[in-house]
Amino acid sequence: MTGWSRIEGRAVALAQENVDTDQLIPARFMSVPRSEGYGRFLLHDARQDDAAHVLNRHSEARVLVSRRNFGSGSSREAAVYALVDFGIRAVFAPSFGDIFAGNAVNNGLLPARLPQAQVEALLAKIGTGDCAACVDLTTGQAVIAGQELSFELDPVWQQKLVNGWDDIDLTAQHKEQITAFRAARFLAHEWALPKT
Amino acid sequence: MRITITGALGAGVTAKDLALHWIAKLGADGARGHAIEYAGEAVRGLSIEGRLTLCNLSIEGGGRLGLVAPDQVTFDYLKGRNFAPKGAAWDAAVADWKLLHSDPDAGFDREVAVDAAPIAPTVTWGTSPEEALPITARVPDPATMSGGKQAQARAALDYMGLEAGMPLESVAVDQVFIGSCTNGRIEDLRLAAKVLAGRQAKVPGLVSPGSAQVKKQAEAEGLAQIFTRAGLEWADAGCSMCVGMNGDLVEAGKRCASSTNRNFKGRQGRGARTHLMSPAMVAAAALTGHLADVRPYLEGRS
Repeated sequence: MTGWSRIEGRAVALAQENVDTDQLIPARFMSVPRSEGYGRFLLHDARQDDAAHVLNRHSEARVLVSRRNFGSGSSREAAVYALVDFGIRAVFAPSFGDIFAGNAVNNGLLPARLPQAQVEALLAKIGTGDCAACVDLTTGQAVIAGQELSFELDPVWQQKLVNGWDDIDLTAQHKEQITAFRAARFLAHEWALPKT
Repeated sequence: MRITITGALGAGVTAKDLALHWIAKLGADGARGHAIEYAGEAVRGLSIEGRLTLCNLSIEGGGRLGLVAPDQVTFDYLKGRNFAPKGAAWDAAVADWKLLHSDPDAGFDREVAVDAAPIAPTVTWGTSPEEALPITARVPDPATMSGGKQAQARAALDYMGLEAGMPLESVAVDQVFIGSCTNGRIEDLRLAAKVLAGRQAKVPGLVSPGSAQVKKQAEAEGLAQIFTRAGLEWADAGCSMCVGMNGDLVEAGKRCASSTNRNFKGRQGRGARTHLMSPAMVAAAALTGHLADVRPYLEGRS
């Protein structure tokens, strides 16, 4: 995966709480190969029910602003694929589903936390339209709808997003220590050795 | 984060009710950023199956994971199982596992205490697991809520086809589902079968055991027969109707009493209306055709 440090593009608002992984992509689409692209499944049912849905009107959106507990629900990584394949690179919300946020960072999507009051102000400003946005991972600063914002970003997440690393890339950097630990662990806990 | 559950759960009240209760109290993001250790008398009193249900639902409260320190109940459950260490290796394993508890002076980022005694069988009325209430309650009025909650509740009631103020027990269901990783274990099936034995379901439903092993065991114990005699379909193990997989769908606008973990919009099928509850409560809904308190149906059944 390619990393990124700074993006510029359009931002839209999704003024909902608890936008869960089942809404982000209904399970029935998950047997489709990723190579076909998941962007068309993003918020599929909501977009199908409402032709004027904000994502139907702004397919070029790269930044999403939403309410608390965005991405709640399951470990469904396809929810992140749908956002990424649609073109979204950053979601701003007061809080995120934990597992979703981890999946997001593994796939180059920034889950950026902002205080609730700032999110509410942004939602009011953007409304049902769109606006200009600029997000900088290296400084933790963003400008959305003319608002200058500082978002919280874990240093490890920053490193992963900038370099395009996922958990396996990070873990593989400690291969020697892991091998040594494994050997020592099995010596001290022989009962846990897999029986062949 | 530690959630300490004091006291004991009442008769007919299960780990599922306990989980929905604390999630309703703390919110679907109440445990966000935390791994949860469940502790306290009520947790010690749960079987491994019950503890697995409780830990499984940690995600619905926003947690990363849930765990219960191993104790004699854990060791008794594991002993003799497939892949469990045997002989001297068993003793060594138990000695290691006995160390896997929090120190008495351990610090937690967050501590929450919950009293088990007043918890009633609990059902969800909305489209988030936090939208849960005792079965004895009424559908809440969004007008009494604040800010984002109010909009969420209005949207939920609209999707669920419910009116504020109606008693939860008056909500008629079209079908039922017992199964899933949350509540498809042998004890879940035993409890649901206890409610259904010798009785007839008023609505159709599906029972999907949690694994092929559970399926075999349930058939050997005669549980499968109780379900089919009650009018429910006995299916293979799988995610099934929990997530609308393999053709096990709830149709748009239909209402399902479900022992699963997520009542999100469209989870069981497009436009499907899901009410989460314990397998015993699902059995009660099957018998009556509406959301119902299971406790009277367990009376006199040991």
